[in-house]
Amino acid sequence: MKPADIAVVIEDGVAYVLNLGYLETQQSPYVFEGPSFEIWTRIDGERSEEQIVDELTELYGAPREQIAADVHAFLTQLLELHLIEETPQDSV
Amino acid sequence: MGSSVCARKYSHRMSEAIDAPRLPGSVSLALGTVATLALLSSADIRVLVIKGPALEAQGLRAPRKSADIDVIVAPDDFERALNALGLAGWSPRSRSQVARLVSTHSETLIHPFWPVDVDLHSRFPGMVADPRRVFDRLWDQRQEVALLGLGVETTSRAHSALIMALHALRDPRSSRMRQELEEIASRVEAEPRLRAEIAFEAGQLGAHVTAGPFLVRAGVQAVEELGETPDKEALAEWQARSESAAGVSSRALQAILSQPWHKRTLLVTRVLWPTAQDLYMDVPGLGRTRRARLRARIARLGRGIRQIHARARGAT
Repeated sequence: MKPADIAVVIEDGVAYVLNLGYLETQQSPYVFEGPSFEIWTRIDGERSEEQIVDELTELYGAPREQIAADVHAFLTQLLELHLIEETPQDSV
Repeated sequence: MGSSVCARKYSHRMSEAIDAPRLPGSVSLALGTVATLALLSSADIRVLVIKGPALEAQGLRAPRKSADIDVIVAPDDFERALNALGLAGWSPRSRSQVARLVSTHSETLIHPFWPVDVDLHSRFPGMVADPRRVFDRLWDQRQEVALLGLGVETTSRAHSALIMALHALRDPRSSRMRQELEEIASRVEAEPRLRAEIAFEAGQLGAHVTAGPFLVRAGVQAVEELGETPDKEALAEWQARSESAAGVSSRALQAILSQPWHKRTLLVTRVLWPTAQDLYMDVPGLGRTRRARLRARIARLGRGIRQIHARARGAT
């Protein structure tokens, strides 16, 4: 799930994400568009990683294995950047 | 999938690339504002957004493009605020000797990743009550507004209206400033409750005289009661601004008069005959030739001498 201290502006299918808790090391916003935007907007603390993979597979019509690997890599990257937090449940 | 999934950071390297994604102006302004507030708040510094899109959110002006993020902190927190922003990459924009002399109320900060500047104020020109008291009053009556859905703290509507009016009154010869003054005055005129608040607050902030033309135009009967003596530095700065016809050189000379004797000669020389670097900062479009610099210096020297002469005549 997303922590409280991030600021997000969504405009024209692009998410601009700023990590307010880490401004000294992450000084500018991240720009998520395309597939990364689709994943980012589905991280709601309720959907599981599997559900997100399912939805993107349907959206893009690409092989599920490829999407699963990409989603997992993206979520790992977000975790490392403290843009999302681990949840005790299955959800992200 | 057409492209791989990745987190793309809006980095310095990417911003220099031809096909780099750029932050839209409104986005960089909103996120930059939130970032500035977060950095200062985490250093336990009270900070308020002033001017810019906050005025639009308060219904005090029509939407327009803003290039700067303006924030104000208490005067005693100013240096700490510079340090806190510096830790996140914000650094003061280079200024000429003249600019440093005439503008002591704020510092403009720039950042390699952000396409907007931050103007950090320790007081606001035209509010000539004690700056600490002014900030406390602004802070006590602050309110929250939303910029692209992000909550930020700004001054009350009455204070914001005064700030907008004082900003416009700094250069009454500019048609744009006259237009801005007319805009805020007509909006205030239409709101009796806001007029009453401004009438009282103008006195509290020491703006009942400096904002006079605005108050008259908006039909505000100011309560002329200052809680204490006006701040000398703030008052002198405002008077120098409003008295000088050509502005900058005269204001610089006025500022020099407040400096110790031993510094004055050098400062006068630097103002009237600036270094090439200072000249290009003051006149960005100036040609890069020796002849262009010489003409600009002679013109400035002439203006300076005329202003000194006029000031001397006015004093007698």
